[in-house]
Amino acid sequence: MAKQWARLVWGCGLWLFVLLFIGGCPRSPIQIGFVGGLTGRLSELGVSGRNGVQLAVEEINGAGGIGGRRLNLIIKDNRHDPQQARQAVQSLIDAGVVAIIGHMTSAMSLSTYDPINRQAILMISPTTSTDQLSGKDDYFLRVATASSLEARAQAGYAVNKLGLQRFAVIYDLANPGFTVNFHDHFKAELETLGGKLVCSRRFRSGSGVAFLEIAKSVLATEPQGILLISGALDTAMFCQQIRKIDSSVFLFGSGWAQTRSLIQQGGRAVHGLILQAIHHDGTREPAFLKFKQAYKKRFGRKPDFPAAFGYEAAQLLFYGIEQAADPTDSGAIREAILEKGRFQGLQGAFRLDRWGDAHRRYYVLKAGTDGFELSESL
Amino acid sequence: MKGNKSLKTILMVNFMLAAILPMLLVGGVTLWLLFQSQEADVKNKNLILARSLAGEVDRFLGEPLGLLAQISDLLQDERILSPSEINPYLDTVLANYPFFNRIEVLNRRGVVEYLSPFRLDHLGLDMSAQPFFRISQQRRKVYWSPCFNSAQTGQPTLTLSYPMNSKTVVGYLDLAALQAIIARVKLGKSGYAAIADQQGTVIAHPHGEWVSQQWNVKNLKLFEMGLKGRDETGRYRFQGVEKLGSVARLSRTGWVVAVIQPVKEAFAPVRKVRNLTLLGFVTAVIVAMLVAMWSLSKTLRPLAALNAYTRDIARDNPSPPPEPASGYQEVAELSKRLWEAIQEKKALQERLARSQKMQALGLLAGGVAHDLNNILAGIVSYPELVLLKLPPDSSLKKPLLRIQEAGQRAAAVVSDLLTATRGVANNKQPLDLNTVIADYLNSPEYADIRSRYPEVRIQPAMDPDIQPIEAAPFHVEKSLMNLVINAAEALNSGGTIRIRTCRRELAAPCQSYEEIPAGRYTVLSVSDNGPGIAPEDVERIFEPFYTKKVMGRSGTGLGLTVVWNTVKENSGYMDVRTGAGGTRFDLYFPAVDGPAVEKKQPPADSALFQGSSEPILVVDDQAPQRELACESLRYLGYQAHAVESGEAAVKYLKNSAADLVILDMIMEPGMDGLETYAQILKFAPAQKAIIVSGYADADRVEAAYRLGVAAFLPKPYTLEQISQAIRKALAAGQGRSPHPSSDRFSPPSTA
Repeated sequence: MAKQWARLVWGCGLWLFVLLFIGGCPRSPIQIGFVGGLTGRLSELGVSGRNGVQLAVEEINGAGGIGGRRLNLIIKDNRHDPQQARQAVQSLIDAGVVAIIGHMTSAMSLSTYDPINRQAILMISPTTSTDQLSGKDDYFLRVATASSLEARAQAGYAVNKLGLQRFAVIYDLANPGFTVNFHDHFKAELETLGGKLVCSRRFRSGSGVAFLEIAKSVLATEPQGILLISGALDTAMFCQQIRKIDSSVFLFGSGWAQTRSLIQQGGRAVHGLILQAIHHDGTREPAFLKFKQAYKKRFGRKPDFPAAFGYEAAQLLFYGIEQAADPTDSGAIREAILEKGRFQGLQGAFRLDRWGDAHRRYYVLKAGTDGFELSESL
Repeated sequence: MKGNKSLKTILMVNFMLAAILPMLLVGGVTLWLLFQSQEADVKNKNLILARSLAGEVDRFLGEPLGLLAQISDLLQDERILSPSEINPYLDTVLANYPFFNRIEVLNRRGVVEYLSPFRLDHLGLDMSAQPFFRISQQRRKVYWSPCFNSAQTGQPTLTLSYPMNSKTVVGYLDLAALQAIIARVKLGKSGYAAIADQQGTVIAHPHGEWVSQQWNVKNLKLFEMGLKGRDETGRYRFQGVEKLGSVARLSRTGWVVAVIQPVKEAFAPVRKVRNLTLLGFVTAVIVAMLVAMWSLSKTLRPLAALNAYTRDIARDNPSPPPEPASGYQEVAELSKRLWEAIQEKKALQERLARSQKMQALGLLAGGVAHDLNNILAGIVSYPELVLLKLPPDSSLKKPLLRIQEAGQRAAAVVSDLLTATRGVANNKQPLDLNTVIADYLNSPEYADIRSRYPEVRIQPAMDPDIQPIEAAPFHVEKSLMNLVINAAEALNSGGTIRIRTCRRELAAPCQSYEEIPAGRYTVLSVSDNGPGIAPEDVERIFEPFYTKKVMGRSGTGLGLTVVWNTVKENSGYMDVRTGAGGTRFDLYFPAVDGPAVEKKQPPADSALFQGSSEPILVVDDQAPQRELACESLRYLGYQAHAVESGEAAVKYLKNSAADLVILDMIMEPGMDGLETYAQILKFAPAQKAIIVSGYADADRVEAAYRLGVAAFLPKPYTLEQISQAIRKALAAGQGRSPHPSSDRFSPPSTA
């Protein structure tokens, strides 16, 4: 009898030990990647996007991870260079990431589109909006809408609301995937609506851009409105130059420039700049307010749209990992995300179609002293 | 044994605990205190370094601030600098002070009026929305902006704004200057310094991408504390590496300067000390263990020897070591006590064995004596009766005498057997040893010895002042005779036998052949100057049938056993000393006070006393004995009747009278002689009786005497003995004999 008891006690002890041992062993973290332009003139999108993803990862790890597994975020800088972007993505894949959040610009997304699909690695872009990646059954998903919608909305607003007919466009060839696409759709819509593109002026973002000269040449075509398809700093600089010469021409921008730098760098020159945006800083959505507060606490500054979209892209990925039968299977994660289709974003619900392209509402925003003010909601 | 703990293990564990536990406690506490102290020391040094570096950065920042103040002063006085001279001046400043990579002079509305390096499209830029303009204008004081991406350079930068009345001078700090400061910090192998701005964005770091990618480290607890203005040192984990960092905040800018080192590296000296201490501790423990083992081995070696010794004893090792080697008094004493106990045990065992042997012999003797003596009674008595009836010249006389002598010798052997076994019927009385010796020297047995050993001289030396002893005379005489015979046989080719008596008073116990306690003794010594007794025989000479003689020829093997038992029966002690010079037996008898009983002289004549037809009843369970007794009685002139049991005797006497009853002591079945006499006395209180027996227990005989039996006559008896016994019994008159010890008859001698 005593022997049986001893065996029982030994057995229970051993079992407990095994359970404790298994329970005590930390489970390996799930590797996820972020890639974006973190340096250079166009780094604002990358840095903000990275911050948003970082915040999301810190939050979920703080809550115990997913299924008890922590997430390890590996961050890479594509330096806004296609070759660097491919290298960065490959190094993330080699590091064993289950998915990559990025890139923040269309040009970079296009440059790594083939590698990620070839290697079946899910990529969720926070801000890529080129139509070249729309409607494809691939491993590329995004939370931003296609830029064609924004371009057409912008054209429609300018013609229909403001009654403008003559337009000039300045666009950055550093991100042609977005800017050319935007330009073309704007032009097409403009012409459809009876407007006319009197000037299209390209430049490549960098330290040697002759902002004043370009502004002068564009203004020489006497446009009623000028559309600037460029990043925030370049948009601000062009606005500054244009306002030095002409204080009355209507200025339009793209969602790409919707950052704090535009306001700060643009000064009074950007006041009245019209944007068709899928993000609005002034929204009172509780989820966004909460995010804003957390972001401010974490980074000491207010979030802008790349940060918010980075955060949302991360939430989408977390959902996919959580729902996937195998949290390390990129395909399973993708399927889980696409299956759900509709998500509650920071600023309201948005939908992902079966190609993984997002559909959101648009806001018409005007830049002002305190940021972007809501003109109307479309 | 199973389940018992080993003394060695317990001692080992206890020793180890005693040696190691204090070391563990003291060492542990000391180590802990040492580590705490050293860790605090390292942390303190790191913090001092961080503060020192913060001071250096602060001093460095004083330079650009002073420069902007100088520019402001110049700009406020147009007599010194005309508007056209400002941009060139700023270019000069920028060329000479590399910590700025851009300087702007903003007008009241925040528009760029002057700048260096000059670019036309940068002139007139509206900076009114830039925090560095707004905040410095609002606060009217110098403002250090957080890090931001410069529109002009596209690189992270931060600005120093110096507000004037109508203008604001803005210097764009070259973060490379900060990098140069922290690059000078060398902290171990991989330690480094870093600076974060007031928002936690890294503005100086050995890895440039941390700056260019505007990493924010506010999530690290240490930096969070630093940003809150708390200079601290703490540990944190980053990218899987545990680090030790110290932060110090610059009050001027709100930046945090950090000095960071991997914990492993930071505490390498501490770890080294710890490892050395632990090594020392482990060495000390090993040494303690070795010392413990050595000491225990030394301590336990005598115990192990003692253990082996006791194991040998337990296995009844015939030759156990006399005493285990020991360096310890306690173990030595333990061994000694054990040895003594073992010796005592051996002595007890030997005594017990001897006692058992004697008991067995007694039982044997007692068992056979009665029957043997009854048988011998016929062999001794019938020849006597026949001889008395034969004519003197009969040819049958000689053979009959030989038959009688043979019977008497056989009876003597039985007598020795009975003497050798204690408890046989004897009578103790105060006895003078000198008288015993004298009687012996006059006895036929002594004469016989003298004739057999003419070369042996016998020298008696008697102390006239000796005290009497309490003993049975027959046994003492027998013992003396046996000792003299043995001595004579030992001196076969000539020598001297000394017979001595003396008084001896022992004040303390005397260790001799056996331990003789203190007391007064009368000693009988018989010594010879023969070859002595072999040492291996000395211990066993008193054992029954242990003899070097040819059994049955010159000894019965019981001679010295009779001596030993005589001494012991009379509470005495024996000492034997033997060697090449001869052998001496000392018989120590306790001396008694008072006079010795005078020995009654045997009847002068040994004639047969004839009866006058007095009726005598013979009570014996054996028919031959009854017949022999009746034949003898009739020969002596008595009217003999015989019955076969006590019960028959009682019945007979109730109906008929008898002047004397001769009772056999042992009768079966039914009452024995004593019981029969007791029953007879109930109805014939004056009935006279004597007891005859081949063997009788001393206690029963004593009891019979107390009832009034006139005499005890051992079988086989001669006509003379029975006639004298009857005569004495009948002459005793009316009543019982109170204690007629002197009327007892001794068995035939073995001489």
